[in-house]
Amino acid sequence: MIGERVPMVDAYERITGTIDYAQNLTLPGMLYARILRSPHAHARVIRVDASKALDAPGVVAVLTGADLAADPGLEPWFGPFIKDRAPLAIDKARYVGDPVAIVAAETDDQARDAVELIEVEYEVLPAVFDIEGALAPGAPLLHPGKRHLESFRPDIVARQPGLEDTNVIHVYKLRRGDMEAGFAEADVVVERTYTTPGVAHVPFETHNAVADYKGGKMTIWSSIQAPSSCGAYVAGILRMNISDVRVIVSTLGGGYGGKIDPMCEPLAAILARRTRRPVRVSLTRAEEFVTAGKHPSRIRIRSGVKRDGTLVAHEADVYYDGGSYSLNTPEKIYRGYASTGPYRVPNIHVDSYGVYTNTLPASAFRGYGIPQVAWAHEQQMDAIAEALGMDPLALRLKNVLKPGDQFSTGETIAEDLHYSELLRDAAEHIGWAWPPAPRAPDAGPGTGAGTGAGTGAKVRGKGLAAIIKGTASYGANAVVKLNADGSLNVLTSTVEMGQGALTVLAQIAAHEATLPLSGVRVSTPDTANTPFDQMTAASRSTNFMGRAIRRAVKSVKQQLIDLAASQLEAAAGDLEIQDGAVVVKGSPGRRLTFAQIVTTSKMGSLVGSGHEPVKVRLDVETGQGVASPQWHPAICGAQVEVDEETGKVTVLQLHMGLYPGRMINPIHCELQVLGASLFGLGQALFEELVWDEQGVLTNPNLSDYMIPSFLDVPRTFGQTMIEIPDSIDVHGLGETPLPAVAPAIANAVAQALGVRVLDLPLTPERVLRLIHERDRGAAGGGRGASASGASTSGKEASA
Amino acid sequence: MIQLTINGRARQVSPRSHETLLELLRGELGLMGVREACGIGMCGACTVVADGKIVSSCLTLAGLCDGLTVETVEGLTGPNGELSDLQQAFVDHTAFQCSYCTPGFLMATGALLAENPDPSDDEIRHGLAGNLCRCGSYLKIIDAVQDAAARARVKADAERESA
Repeated sequence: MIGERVPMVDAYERITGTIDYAQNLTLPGMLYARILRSPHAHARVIRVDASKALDAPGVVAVLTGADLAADPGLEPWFGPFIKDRAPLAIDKARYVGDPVAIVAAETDDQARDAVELIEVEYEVLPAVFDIEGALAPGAPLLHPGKRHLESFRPDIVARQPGLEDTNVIHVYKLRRGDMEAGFAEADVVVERTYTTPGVAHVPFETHNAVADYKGGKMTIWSSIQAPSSCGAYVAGILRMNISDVRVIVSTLGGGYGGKIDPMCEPLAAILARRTRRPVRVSLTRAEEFVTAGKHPSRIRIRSGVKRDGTLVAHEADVYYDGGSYSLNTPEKIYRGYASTGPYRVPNIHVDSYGVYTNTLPASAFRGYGIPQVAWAHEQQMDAIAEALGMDPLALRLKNVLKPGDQFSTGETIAEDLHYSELLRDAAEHIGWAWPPAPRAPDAGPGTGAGTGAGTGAKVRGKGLAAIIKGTASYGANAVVKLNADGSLNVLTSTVEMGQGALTVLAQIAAHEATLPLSGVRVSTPDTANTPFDQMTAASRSTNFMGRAIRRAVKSVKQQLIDLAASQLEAAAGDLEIQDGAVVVKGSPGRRLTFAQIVTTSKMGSLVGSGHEPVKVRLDVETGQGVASPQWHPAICGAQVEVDEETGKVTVLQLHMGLYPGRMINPIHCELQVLGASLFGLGQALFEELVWDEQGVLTNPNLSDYMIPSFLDVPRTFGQTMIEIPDSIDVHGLGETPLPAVAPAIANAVAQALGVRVLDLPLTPERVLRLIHERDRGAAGGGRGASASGASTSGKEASA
Repeated sequence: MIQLTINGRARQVSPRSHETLLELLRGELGLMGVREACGIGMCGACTVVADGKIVSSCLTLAGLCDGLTVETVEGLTGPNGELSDLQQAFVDHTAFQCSYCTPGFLMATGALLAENPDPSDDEIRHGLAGNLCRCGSYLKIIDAVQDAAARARVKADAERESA
């Protein structure tokens, strides 16, 4: 069962187009809601006149931020750490696309038409669109005044009061060893600044929800990755008990982290309670683009290294652009701890910031802050290798974490994460050689660096990257119910979004219960009936929910043994469980099936529950402690071809190296690695949200915002998975491969061109500009710097 | 009022003036396997076969479809819900994750294989380049399409021999 390539349990519904997405649901009498969004990046909402909209055909209700603020039945401000957002902008709009009003009407067309009739008077305010602007002295403030905290986490309580009246959302500081001493010890210092842009999740099913309020209870059908948290938010906003808010999730048409925060549910619920009608809120594709996205980042790293390649000091300023509302940014910035990469560094100084800007609220995004720092630290490793004249593979092998080493957070990585093995393996797969062979005029595969400018030559290069990723610090809960016929229900709030959760959790439950897969049914989330789970995210479900389920099954197994002991008149210690039955050891004839035991007990069903606790704690001042219950490694080897005439980068080969622990279902492991790698490839080459100078997103559609197609998939794609055969321990894969891809591709491009791109994505325009700069520099007699913010110094210069 | 043949069945419908074929199929006709993702003909999720040719139903005005024969994913299964060989190949290779795009891929693949029963991997990549899969299951889709093509060729050979 464990390790079998079982097809998805709902494959039939998926392949026949009959599977239920929230988007498919229509209820009798259901109203359709449409949102009016701010055209201004930062504007006080002076007055909203909805009278014309209210008179329009079919319109049942119009709500504005003022309505929310005036309703004593509502507590509109919410947020996971800082309560800085309301479902509709109450005092002011903070980005282009901020919801300002909403219309509910009998038909979707009527709602869409009526939204146009709402008149809003704004007082336009100065706005900030990037990290530099937001932090400049005198910058306009998005959230001035006192901050209302949701979380009592020690660092939130300690730091937040000091951040009021700034655009800093939160700060994480990491202090380890003695940075100055480390740099004093260094022979070479390398400093670079790297940036990554905003990126969209593009789930094919957009955010949507239907809410229905009956008999004092709210039921919400949603396309959300965090149904339990969503229920808690809605209960808080509507001043209801969590027990009276029921969130039901069938399956998602994609999530990728963008569907963790409740974007439609509070509005649908408020309208449903007001109108006493079911209400649907669905986002258009254009709205989806201004609803959630990845944090843009700017990361400066200064590295101190000894001549032999030993890393001795690391200083980093990490800035995550959180956009207009804080959401999970206070947690995400902790990923600054990974700005060192998966390497031993004794002396570290990291300041990691989340920053408010008048752009879309950045949310969780596949990889959760690691892709940003990985883009920086893995190019930094190649830049260090270049400064030392050292093989980048050898530099990584020299410094990479081995069992017993301490990570940047001070925690000991006891487990063998197999970095060296995976690095060597990826290098071998891409034909890594150092130094790269000189480029022949007709460069064939793998011929390495060259400078064929102006010749229209296609040059090739190879690159490597290694990353480390943790997981989220939330426990998981599961309940199992063994029925009178011996079948097993598993109740969890884990969301199936195509990753195969229902299938692999069933495999784990069946394995633990010694039942066939057909005897196990894993629920989809229904928060009235399934226990709390923070979210399906952070590559955590197979491991943590899997463990919670095993505990729950073990509890039922103990009950079975106890019942069978009396039913068989045997000592419990003489009994064991085999293939859905309790057997007296050594007497195979004396056995009772689960069905016989439950039926004889007259209990109808046996219920067990399980919890997988997670303990994570970092010191507020030093950032030292335990950052993750588990660490995941990923390696990427890339081979690229760059057209020097057009700047176009073609990825010829990706080879991924992962340590899944044990693959519960290799099909889904392969799919997750493939999918996450292509997510990384899109971000490496072309995915980028582009705002104009007024803060308007210029590419909110799939014509101007490209995602990887069949034609972008590398000709050669491979994955190496290191398994521990007898284990049932799992390392998450959903996000893990992603962060390694872009820097590996960039390192390959740098090898091909001899210059380095420090800013994502590697668009033809950007690459071509770099080629031209390089050639001008070469013509002028010296090698031009690859981009701004680059410096490399010997000891003398830096001292 | 227009007349359409949808998955072999004649239907009379009166679409609104601006209604797309996608809205008609999902709305009045309740065919939820037809899906909108981009709404501008870029992603292929809404692909259906109209008079033998694949079209983006999100870009097709329903009112202009009078007399068309339209096939959707709902028409692929047999009378008792049996999967077609193409569907079975997608299941066998798990050529999907969230599966939102899958009906579009199935319809596009059917048209591709009708034109080219023995495609190379490269021909599959180019033939299906108009269909996007955000979960990135592309390489499994190549495996599934090759498998389905092989099954179809074996069947065709057997039919020829028995004829």
